[in-house]
Amino acid sequence: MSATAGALTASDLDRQIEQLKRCEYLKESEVKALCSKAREILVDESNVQRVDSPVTICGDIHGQFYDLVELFKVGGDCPDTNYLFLGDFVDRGFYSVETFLLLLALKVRYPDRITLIRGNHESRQITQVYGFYDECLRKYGSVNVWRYCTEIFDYLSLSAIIDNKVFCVHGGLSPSINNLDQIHSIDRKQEVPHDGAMCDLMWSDPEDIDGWGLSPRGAGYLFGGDVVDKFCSLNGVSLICRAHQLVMEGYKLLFNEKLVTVWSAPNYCYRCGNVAAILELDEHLGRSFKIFEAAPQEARGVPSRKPAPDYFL
Amino acid sequence: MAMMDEARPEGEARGPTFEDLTLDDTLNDLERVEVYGDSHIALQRLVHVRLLAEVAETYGFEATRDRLLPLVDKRVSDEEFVVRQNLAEQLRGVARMLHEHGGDEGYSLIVERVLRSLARLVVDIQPEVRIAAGESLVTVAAMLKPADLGARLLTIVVHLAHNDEAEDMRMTAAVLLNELAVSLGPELCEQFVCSELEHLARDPVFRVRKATALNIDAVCRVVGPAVAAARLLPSFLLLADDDIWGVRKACAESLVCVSKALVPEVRVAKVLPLMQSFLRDASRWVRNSAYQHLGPFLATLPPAAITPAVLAPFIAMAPRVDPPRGTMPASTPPPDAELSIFCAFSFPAVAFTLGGARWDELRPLFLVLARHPEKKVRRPISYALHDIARVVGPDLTFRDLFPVFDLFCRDVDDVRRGVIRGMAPFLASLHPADREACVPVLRETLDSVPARGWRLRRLLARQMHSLARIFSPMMVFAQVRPVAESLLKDEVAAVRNAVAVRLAPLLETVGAASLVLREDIEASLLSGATSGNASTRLTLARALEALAAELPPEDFLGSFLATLKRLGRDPVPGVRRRVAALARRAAEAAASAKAAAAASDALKPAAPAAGSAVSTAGASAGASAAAGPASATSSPEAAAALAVCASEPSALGGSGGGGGGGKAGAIAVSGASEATTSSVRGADAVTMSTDDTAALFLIENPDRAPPTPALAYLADAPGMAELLAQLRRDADAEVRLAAGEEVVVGARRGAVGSDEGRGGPEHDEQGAASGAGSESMLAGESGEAPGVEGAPEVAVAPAVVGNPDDPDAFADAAFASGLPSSAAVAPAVSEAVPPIPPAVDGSA
Repeated sequence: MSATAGALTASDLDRQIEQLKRCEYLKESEVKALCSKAREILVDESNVQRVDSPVTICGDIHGQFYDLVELFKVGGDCPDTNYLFLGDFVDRGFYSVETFLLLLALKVRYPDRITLIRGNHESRQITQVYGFYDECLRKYGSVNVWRYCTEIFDYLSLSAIIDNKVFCVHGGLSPSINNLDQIHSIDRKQEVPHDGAMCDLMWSDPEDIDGWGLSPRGAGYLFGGDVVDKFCSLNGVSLICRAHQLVMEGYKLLFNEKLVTVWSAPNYCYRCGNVAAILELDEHLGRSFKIFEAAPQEARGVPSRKPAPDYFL
Repeated sequence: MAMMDEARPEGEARGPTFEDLTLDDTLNDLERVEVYGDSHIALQRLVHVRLLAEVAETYGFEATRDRLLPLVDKRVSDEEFVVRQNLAEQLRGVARMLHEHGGDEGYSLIVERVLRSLARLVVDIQPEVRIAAGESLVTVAAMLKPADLGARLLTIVVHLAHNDEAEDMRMTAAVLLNELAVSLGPELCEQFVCSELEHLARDPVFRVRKATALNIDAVCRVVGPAVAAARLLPSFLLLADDDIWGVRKACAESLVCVSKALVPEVRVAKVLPLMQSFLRDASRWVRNSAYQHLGPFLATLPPAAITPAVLAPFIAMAPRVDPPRGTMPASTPPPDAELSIFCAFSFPAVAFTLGGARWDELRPLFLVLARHPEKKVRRPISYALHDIARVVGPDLTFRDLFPVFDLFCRDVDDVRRGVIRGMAPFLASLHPADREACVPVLRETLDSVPARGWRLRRLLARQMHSLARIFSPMMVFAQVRPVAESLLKDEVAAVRNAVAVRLAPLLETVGAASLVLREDIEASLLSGATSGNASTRLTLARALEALAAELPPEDFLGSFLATLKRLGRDPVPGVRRRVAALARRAAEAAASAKAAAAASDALKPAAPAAGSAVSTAGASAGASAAAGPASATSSPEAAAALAVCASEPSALGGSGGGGGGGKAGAIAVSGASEATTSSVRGADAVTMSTDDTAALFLIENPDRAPPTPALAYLADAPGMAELLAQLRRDADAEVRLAAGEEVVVGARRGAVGSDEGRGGPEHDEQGAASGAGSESMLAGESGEAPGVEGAPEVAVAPAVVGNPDDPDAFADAAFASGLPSSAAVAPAVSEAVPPIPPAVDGSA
């Protein structure tokens, strides 16, 4: 990444956002410029990015582009609504390229209205297994776009803190981390490591246990309610908000409502039959979960194509 | 990043290497298409062929001529048909570029090079390529000079039609003759195409005859009814009598279009008997197809020709079906349901053709369809109910349609979506007194929609404009307003936004009768400004944006200006941003109004551009409602002039009538919207009776503020200039941008994040514990590692892996599987996994 971005104007971006909202991906050269601009913004973000309420928190998306569009219908458009996405934008769904580029273009256009943090799928290794790599190759006939995007993944923040009260992360806590300062000290600009604090933040899961346990995922840890209590009181945090695990009802509160899992990919993998949720925090951090279903078939087509008539007149 | 190095291939990779798949991104798009459009990797050729039209457009005529056309010549014989298919599609755009920017030389390149390529692609062995090339040929035909149509284009097709070796080519010829008919024009069609079709209709191979039967209609239309009857109808009748049922079925399928190309007398005399014989055909497939097209065919006949005997088979399509007993499995529809679905689908057209006076003949059928146990039968009736209401008139609507409407409102979502979508026009077609009695249906409908059925609520929200105009003021106040207020508080943003921009008629209708009641509505609306929830204030800001444009200036300023300014100082930047955008639009409207006024002063004697725009806009605003200001906003001058016209005080229309006045223009939001067409217009165009109805029919609008430009006044309102100036200095970059300040994209509101508290590194504490995990990550990864395909298919469906119960657990377990075996798996990894690119700078 040596070249600096060309003049990427607001109207260029608006055009690209409109194009992406129609599920049409950008040209390779446009992706390069967009990523370059995004990097300039993301490099300045903190490992614990500060976010102001009101904000709407979204969990895994996994390339389910039309369901992301549905999410915006339910939650409101960016920038009217301030968004925080907890990672796992890519892999598994059919439209990881469009999904990630739309979120990235919104980030570049409205840097203060949308926060993207990194999930375990924002990784070179994982995306080669679960679809994003193949999708890039299929759509661009080259690995360039995958390279631009995975380079950007390294710059995504690791966590966020809303009004100093709500700690947000993709996976969960780490035994290596007691306080937020320790997250600040991570050098995040690298591929997701196999272990250590950075890995744990993206891989860990809450579990009904005491203390810490080994994760069946092979990375990260399981952590219990006592760990959450301790972390919250030590850091003055009232809620930990994370994603990373499919929840059939869209969200799940745990540990006396001190931790919540938010899942935003309805009918995950187009077959799980789950609903999705987003968490709206108002300006007093009041919680309201919005549940939504997968976009209906008619909202998944090519919008320019003439719709089938409902009757003949 | 040692493990990444382990994953590098050992040089014996099959297919393209990672380096092959890394494009030189210092090349511009033209160079890329040139280089990689000729790649030995099929996928790269495909991807870059798909860029041809866009790159031609971007790089201009000479680049297209010198650098792209040579590539086109090569790719015409590409070994991958998908590449040829995409090339055929791209040639349209390439030709358009040559046509628009190439002058005479461009034209001759179209004729010599593009047509030559298409002539080859149109006879491709792969049907997909032929279809794409045929479509491009139609586009290119429209660019040709009349002299070249016959000599250059028709000859290609005639050549195919006379290919006695390959029936596929003769079939392609039949398709192309029909598709090109419009471009070729009546003379060439009459002179050459008719005789080709006569020839093809007598082809020894039945597939060719079938293709001819399916592809005769456009030629019939182009040559006109007289020639069609004299030259083409005899061939069609011959095909209709073919021994092969497939040919007769094809005739049944194109019967409606052929009928429409003939004069009514010929339709009755020749085509009607044909339809009747198809209905009795020995082949079930022919009969079925005939029934499928019976309704649309009847709609092409003069009503007098539709005697009860002619109508009988249509009515017989949907026999009464008793509702299923409890024991019956409700799985597949009964075998005759298919015909009932066809019948219901075309029922509106038949009803329209027969007219309200003959409703009694259709009424029993209508009731059968409306109460049919199969929802696919009820669905088209539900969607069309407001159109049927228009045909039968208010009395019969109340007697026969309203009970059905009421049932549909409580039907399954798929059915009731139709009546909800047509709610306002349906209610509007009742007598006012009946309409008032029906108004509770609004609330009942809203309450019966489940929380997740937000699209149904949005359909209702999108009709708030109309609904507030068709009831009496008291009824609007008591019944419509609470519905609107519920929708404003909806949990789904798209619903709130849809209703927020449609509140003006509510205030106007109620205000026309009682200022007190209007103020009551305003007060409850404005109470949102003090809500502790930012999304309520945001919705209010959206509502104010629309009201500012739709209400008379004095009304808006009197009731809403103070709140607007308050929201301009809202603590939440998203709210301020909307106010900023409104203030900016107002300032721009004011500026362009001034500019337009100056321009029209200057150009008074001979007013070419701006002057005519002004007069058009003025005329349309003054004239009838339907087309009104909304459609005129494309030019800023017109918009500005319109702002002046429309903002002049005009009498408030009554509640329901609302015609004539300048106000009514505000309802007619122009119809560019998602999926507005809900019916196909098969018969002659349905004309809307009154301007009011026309407005009502535009029920689906985009959820943006109506594009009425009457905002200029707002810029001059007290305090607005100061507010705008203040918003341009806002602490939030996006507020400033919306207010019109030029802001560098990506600029932040200042220092973000805090790294001040970097503590000592403590992540060694447990870090070592996950050593096994690290190995497993590598090993698991190899399990499903993607190979890099040599010449991959385009449409490789992404594999969905995982366990339906918890795919993530499954997948991530797979990811972590094979814990100790990384050494054993590692060699396989290096073959299958593409090499990992070097880590970016900054990683250890």
